[in-house]
Amino acid sequence: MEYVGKLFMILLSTLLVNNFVLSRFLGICPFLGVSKKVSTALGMGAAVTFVMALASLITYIVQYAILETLGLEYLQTIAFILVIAALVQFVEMVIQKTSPTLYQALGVYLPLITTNCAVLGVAIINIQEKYDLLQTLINGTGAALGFTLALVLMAGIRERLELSDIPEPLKGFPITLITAGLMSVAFLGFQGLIK
Amino acid sequence: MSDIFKVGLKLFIITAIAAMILGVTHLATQGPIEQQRINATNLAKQTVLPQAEDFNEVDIVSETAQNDKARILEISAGMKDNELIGYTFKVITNGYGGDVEITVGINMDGKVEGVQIGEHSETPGLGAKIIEKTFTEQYHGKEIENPISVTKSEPGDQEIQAISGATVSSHAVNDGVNLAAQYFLEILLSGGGQ
Amino acid sequence: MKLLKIIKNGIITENPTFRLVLGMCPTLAVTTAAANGIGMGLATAFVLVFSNLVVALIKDFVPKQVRIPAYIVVAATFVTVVDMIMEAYVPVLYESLGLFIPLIVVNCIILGRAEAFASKNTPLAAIADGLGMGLGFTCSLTLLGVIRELLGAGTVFGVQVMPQSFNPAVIMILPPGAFITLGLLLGLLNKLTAKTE
Repeated sequence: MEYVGKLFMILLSTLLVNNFVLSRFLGICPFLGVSKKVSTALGMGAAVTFVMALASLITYIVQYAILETLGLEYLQTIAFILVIAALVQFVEMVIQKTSPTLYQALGVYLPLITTNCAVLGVAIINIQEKYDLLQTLINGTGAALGFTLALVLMAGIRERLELSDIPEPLKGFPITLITAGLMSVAFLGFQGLIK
Repeated sequence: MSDIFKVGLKLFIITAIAAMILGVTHLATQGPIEQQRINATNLAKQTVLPQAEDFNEVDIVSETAQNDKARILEISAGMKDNELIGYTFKVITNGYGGDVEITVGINMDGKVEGVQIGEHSETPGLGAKIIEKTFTEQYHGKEIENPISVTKSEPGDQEIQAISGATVSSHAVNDGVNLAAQYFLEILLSGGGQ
Repeated sequence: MKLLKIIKNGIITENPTFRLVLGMCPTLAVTTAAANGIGMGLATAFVLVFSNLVVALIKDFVPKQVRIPAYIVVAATFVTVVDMIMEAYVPVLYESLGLFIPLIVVNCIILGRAEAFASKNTPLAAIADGLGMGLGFTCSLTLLGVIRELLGAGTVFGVQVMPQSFNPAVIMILPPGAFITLGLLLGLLNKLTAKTE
């Protein structure tokens, strides 16, 4: 029972307390770039969640079955990023075949998932925290959901901002960053939720 | 078909060269990296028990080494001129943002000689202030016969003052010190550790 | 001299942080102190220079279809080298930068410049570009770090600058401070450059 409790803690942590975007600064580039419309945000979030969950699984296997068995831990960065790049290629092909509309909508942002620091970041964190397989999967999925949450929230706000009168120098990235800052303050309130 | 083969081969060559470069760098930096790790641990021990010249690790023999708030990871006996002058304890406790690593030095007079904070994830500017000397120095010279407690006002003899706005972090450090003290009194003083 | 122009481009005209808005993750994460800003900037510069150089050298050998994975392998190699060197010789900085050292490999600046510049120019020009971008990145990180450290802890490079009576705005070194400071800086820059147009 305590084990399940710990799993729940990990999930809560990645979603709110240590939200990947607003607390850990992982996944900022797509967060700033793809958050203009809620529908695109959701699509991107779904794609990232799929990639991050799978990447967590595969990098876990690579680390323990290959790197540590052969004493090649220092090749972690190279190995992980290659796994992620291959995974994104694969996901791209799958989406292209199954949902051409989504493929069109996501456009150039799909291959950019490779350089999303959240994906490589969570893979490394899984190993650092010494999570077992189930914890790794929960952490990877939770982190992705947290990313999606932040992304969708931001998209919702930005859709409204489009209609407001923003001073010229602040339009675009500046106001988005300030908004993110305010969201981050709100999420700070979740600190201490987990003992 | 041979096209894909050629492409794959070229990619493989690039990766192979990369792996070789890394292998060489790894061999070159392995020594210094290991040395850094040893230095860090020794530095903590030396800071909390400054008089000691040598540190010998001591086996943890009792369940007293952990309670629900903290656990002792490692104990070393501090020696000077072949005389036992105190013990250093590496303790992990539950802080606000996760584990807090503390090194405690207790001398054979039953007083705390020093407290040093290691790795932690406490909030910068608040809980993270536990690493500052103004906080940890409070423990210097404190008797450990009775547990030390945390207070918000002017601290008495068996008390230390919490960092304002960081009660949880302050308590975490205190729990660690008390656990080390408890183990010292129950096990080491009665000659249970060598 | 053409090379100097390339370097200047990376520092000012196409400053990766303030103009290209690339490499946001480390920019926001490590600038809690000016020293961290410089450290991360220089580490990234190291990777940029060597990665750009190698990409420019092998650009004819690499087949077009696998150029992205190839560039990634090159970048990852130098990131790992920097990681090992830092762990061995500057452990305190290594601990402060933590997770973000391996994450240099997904810093969009690295792959971005490899694809946009290094793969299309001479090795010498590629080095210049790497140097310029790296220095530009270091400058912006240091600027951000100085501001956040000064207002959030009262120190600059660990040296107490603000008077004792100054009560630091802790939020500056927490995540919100990062977002808001960068946002305001970008806005300020927009305003200044708009005037000169």
